[in-house]
Amino acid sequence: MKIAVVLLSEGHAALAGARIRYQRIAQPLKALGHSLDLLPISQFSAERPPEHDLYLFSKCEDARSLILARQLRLQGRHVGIDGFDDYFSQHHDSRHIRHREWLSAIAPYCDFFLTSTPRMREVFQSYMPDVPGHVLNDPFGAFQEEGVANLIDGKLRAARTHGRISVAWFGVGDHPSFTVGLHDLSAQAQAFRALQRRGFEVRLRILTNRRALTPQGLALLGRLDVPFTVDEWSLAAENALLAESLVAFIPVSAQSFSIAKSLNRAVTALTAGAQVLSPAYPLYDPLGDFIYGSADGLADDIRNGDLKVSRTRMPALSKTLTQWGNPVQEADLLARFLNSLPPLAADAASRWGQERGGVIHGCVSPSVCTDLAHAMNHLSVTLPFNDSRKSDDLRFIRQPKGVQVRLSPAAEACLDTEVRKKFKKFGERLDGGGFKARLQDILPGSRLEAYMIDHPVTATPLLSSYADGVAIMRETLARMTPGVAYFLSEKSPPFREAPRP
Amino acid sequence: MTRRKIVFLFNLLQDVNIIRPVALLAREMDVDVAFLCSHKFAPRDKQKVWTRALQTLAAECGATISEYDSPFAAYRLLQGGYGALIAASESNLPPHVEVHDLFRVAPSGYTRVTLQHGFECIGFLQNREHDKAHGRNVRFAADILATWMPSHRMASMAQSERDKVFLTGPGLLLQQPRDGKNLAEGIVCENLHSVRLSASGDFRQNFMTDFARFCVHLAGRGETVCLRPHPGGQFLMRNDIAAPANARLDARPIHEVDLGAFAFGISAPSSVVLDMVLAGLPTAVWADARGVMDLDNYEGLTVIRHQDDWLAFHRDARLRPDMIRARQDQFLRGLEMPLDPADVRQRFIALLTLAACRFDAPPAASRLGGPTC
Repeated sequence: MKIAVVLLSEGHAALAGARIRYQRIAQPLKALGHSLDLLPISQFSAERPPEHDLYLFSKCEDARSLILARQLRLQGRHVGIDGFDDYFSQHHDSRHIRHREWLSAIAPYCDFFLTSTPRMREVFQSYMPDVPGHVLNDPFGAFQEEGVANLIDGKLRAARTHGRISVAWFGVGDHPSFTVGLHDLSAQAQAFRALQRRGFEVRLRILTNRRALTPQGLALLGRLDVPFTVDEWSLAAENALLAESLVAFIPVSAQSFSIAKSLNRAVTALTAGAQVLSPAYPLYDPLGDFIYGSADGLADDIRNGDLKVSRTRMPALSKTLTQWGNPVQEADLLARFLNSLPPLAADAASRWGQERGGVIHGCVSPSVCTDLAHAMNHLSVTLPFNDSRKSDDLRFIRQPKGVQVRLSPAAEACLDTEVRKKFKKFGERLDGGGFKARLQDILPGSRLEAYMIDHPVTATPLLSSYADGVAIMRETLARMTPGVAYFLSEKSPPFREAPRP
Repeated sequence: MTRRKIVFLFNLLQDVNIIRPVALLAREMDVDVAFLCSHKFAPRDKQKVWTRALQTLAAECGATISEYDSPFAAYRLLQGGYGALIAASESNLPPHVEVHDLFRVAPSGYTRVTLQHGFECIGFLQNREHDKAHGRNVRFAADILATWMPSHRMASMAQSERDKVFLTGPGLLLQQPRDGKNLAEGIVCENLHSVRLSASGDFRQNFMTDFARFCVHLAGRGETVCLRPHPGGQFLMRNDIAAPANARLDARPIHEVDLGAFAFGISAPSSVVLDMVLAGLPTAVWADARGVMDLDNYEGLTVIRHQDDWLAFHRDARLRPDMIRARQDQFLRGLEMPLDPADVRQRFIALLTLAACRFDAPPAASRLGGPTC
């Protein structure tokens, strides 16, 4: 099977998500006779028919994936999504409406999905109960038992000799929506007191992203009552830190975003030879006996020289890691899952790049959605809250005498027969093709005309009128260009269209 | 072994004036002296006068100058060290954010000290125009507030900040150059950028009109006058306003200017009034003709409001300067401000010792390394 993972950009292939989740299983999949390619979403166009059997959208949460998912399904390709961040279960939180809208919109085109955790599978399943899902655990990288055991021996010896415990905290320190990262560290720092009470000196070293190190972030750290240093994260710095630290401190809170996280950070720490101390939510329970939930137990074990991750327990750790993230096993399970998907038939009448479709730009919509729409011979149009874009195929423009509609040649090709006649009768040809005409001549009594006159262009449309505006636009487009499937591209919360039948 | 250090912060241009005498004292202690300069400092210094002054001061103190563009960048330079952090303009007001945020996050091995940077000073002693522009709830991230006058004279200080007060007196008493010359001309100082001249109405034009007429009067007598722009504001230069022909512009740092050499001094309400009074100069405070500007903190000094007042003061400064000085001495006594330079010096040494020597040894974290300034 030829598998394509569709990414937001070429740069995303180098980020941790793609690096850990896909590149680590590419080789084992190949051994099983499958190929796995990473494709930036911008590579798709009407001129390049799909070459893969299966397309997995990863973090492509905008209208582009909707356009492509529909096209790929018509071509008989398997279409799925991969989920590892939970922006979908906070139904009370209006900031993530666009994520929930996107998931609802793409669900009908998916014949499978992947997640990084059982919790994420539950979340996706609530949106598409009949679609099969598979948990692809984050595969770990290299794990050298002997080397790790030697490292741990050395660090334990130093800790017992000097009565000093080196602790690492690493990772992304902030999040635009959720209080995670440095907040978790600060909230659970009382764990260090338990180590201090047992007579150990604690040395904390923090590696995190620069964005998190605002005055607020640094002030959180300032309240820690153990000595610490903080530096900017890099992969090399993380490797060096974990190699030197006896303990990796990975506290997890119980909020929905955090409990859907994978075992990744704990696995990284364990395979680098660190003991994992993870108070609060028991996210790492699957790693069972290799995780310290309380600092008291850790202090006792250090004192006794008998750590949970130690030379004698390497075989058991190896077995557990294999169960939860061995790349070969994960590739094998994934291949079995994908092979079990029922074959899909292509729509015989469908031609790649010839399907009628379009994108409706909302209040905030990236121009890359227009680029992909046009690359796929789709139309673009903008909701009446904003001025229409010059690149749009259908432009509705407020003028003193009413609304003018301007069509590109591509839009003209999609016109309803009767509407086309009206354009020819009342309209005026544009240089370079297409038409312009008064909307009231083309669609007499159009609700869009009245709506646009009542609602001038504004940066912040009224929430109460947004859904009406989208419905009226869809109604107008359905009359003018019947048979064209339009997807709404809206990145600005809390705007959403009313549920459609 | 990491040595104890005193780190001075520079953000606004006028910080150099305030920090200079303290940094020169720190040089005499058994500590490393370092300068941290915000990335906003250099772009503010169009004439590069203050950058040069800062470099000279660094050379005199044997200090390195490190620039920082974010609290974390400064934090990285500081972590691992211990001692004192000393700033001249720090509060929770927006113009001070570069220093305030650094103080908020500074490693715990440092004692944070904010120096009062003017006679009327935000968060310490404000006038009505300050209150209007900035409110009366100004806060500091510092551990110690070094003031010019005792706590009970700090009428604008939030109650919760008062326990931080350490009375030093004005540092400018430690740097009063006197070369023995006596000039025939007077000095007029502008601080047109200040909210004092704009918060209760626009008085900038009034000042410039009065000054221009005064220059005409002086020109008729064949006299010149020195016009001194505020070091941070530099309103005339930034707005390209031409000074009258017999006005000589002098933008040198205050420690290079022998104020005592001038025949008289005039300024709108500003710390330079106190500088001139302390230098023994017959001094007048300019205010708008309708008496809107708040002069309460200068009560007892000569006030000039109308053109006639300028001329009368000019006459008195020539004919009976001791009368004006006597008035000024009474004003100074009423401030309860340490005025003996030797006393002020001892107070600053006590402050530096207290702030820098809170720890006898570096806190444990400092041994973990990392780049330091």
